Amino acid sequence: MTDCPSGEIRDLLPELVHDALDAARRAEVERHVAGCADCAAEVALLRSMRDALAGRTPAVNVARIVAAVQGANVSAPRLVSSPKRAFSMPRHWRAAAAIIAVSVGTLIVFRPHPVIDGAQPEMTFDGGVSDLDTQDLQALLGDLKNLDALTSADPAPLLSFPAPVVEK
Amino acid sequence: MTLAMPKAEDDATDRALIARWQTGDERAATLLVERHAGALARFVASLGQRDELDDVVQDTFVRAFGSLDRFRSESSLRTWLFTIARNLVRDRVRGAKWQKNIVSIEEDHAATEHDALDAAVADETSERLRGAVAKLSPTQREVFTLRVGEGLSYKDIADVAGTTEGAARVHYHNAMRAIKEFLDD
Repeated sequence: MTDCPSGEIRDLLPELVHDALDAARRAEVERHVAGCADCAAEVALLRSMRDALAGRTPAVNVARIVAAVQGANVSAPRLVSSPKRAFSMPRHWRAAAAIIAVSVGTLIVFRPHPVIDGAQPEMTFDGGVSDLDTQDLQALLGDLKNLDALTSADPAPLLSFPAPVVEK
Repeated sequence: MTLAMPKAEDDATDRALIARWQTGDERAATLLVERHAGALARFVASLGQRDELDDVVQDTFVRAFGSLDRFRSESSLRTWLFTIARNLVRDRVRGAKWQKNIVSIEEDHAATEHDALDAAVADETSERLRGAVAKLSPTQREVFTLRVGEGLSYKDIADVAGTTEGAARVHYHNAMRAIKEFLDD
């Protein structure tokens, strides 16, 4: 088997075999092949080679591959691309900001109380149950009974707001 | 060289399926795998990775789908898949060498292995042709398989194999000459 001297045409023979030439180029190559025994033989060889290689296709499990793809891309397919942050603070800056926030909060909570006229304020408890009068105690007992009743009843809405009244 | 409509249509179909996948159509993934799994398996086998072929093909698709956002359509999807697969095979070969368990891409491994069942059922002519391909050097075999088996252009072959179009052309013509000589003997 010899080679055609037209290197340009020979280069296109695999594309001819794979039907990958546009119409004009294909017609040109086919005209050449029709009149060139070397190229005709090479085209026949290429077709046989293509078929022999394709006939050796190993079996693949498409379902297994698709499952792996979908398992690996848990977040995909995505309906929309995730928006990018306009500003992203570096991790060490975020850590520094957190430390500062905790420190300031601690200072506010545990700061010394102001001294007024040299006297330290004292925590006092000015009263107890014994200071309640009879009316207050009865009201308190009534509230306790209501609480007992709530535990055995169906839960009621925790909050209910009356419809807004629009004054005209 | 102007590429014809069939390849352009294939590329357009791939792009449309990728767009469907990216907008939530899971069926598109199945269609894409079905379109390219066979060719990818042939290519991986030609690189000598028959034993781990399933894993390489699967890993290739997993990696590709995981980075479809970066697929720029400058090459075809199939070429891109081949490139990913080749890198995976290269990594595995390196790992195997490191472990002293060498199944080298340089060896005449996959293409020359014909088990008894294959030999019994295979067409004699096809076997002879595959035998000719098996005699090629690894680089020639890779280029020839991509060119004749898959119909890739020299540019795409260069992208996959990490070489130049000129080198791919030389490898192809040397391979074709060697095959003709083998068949003429």
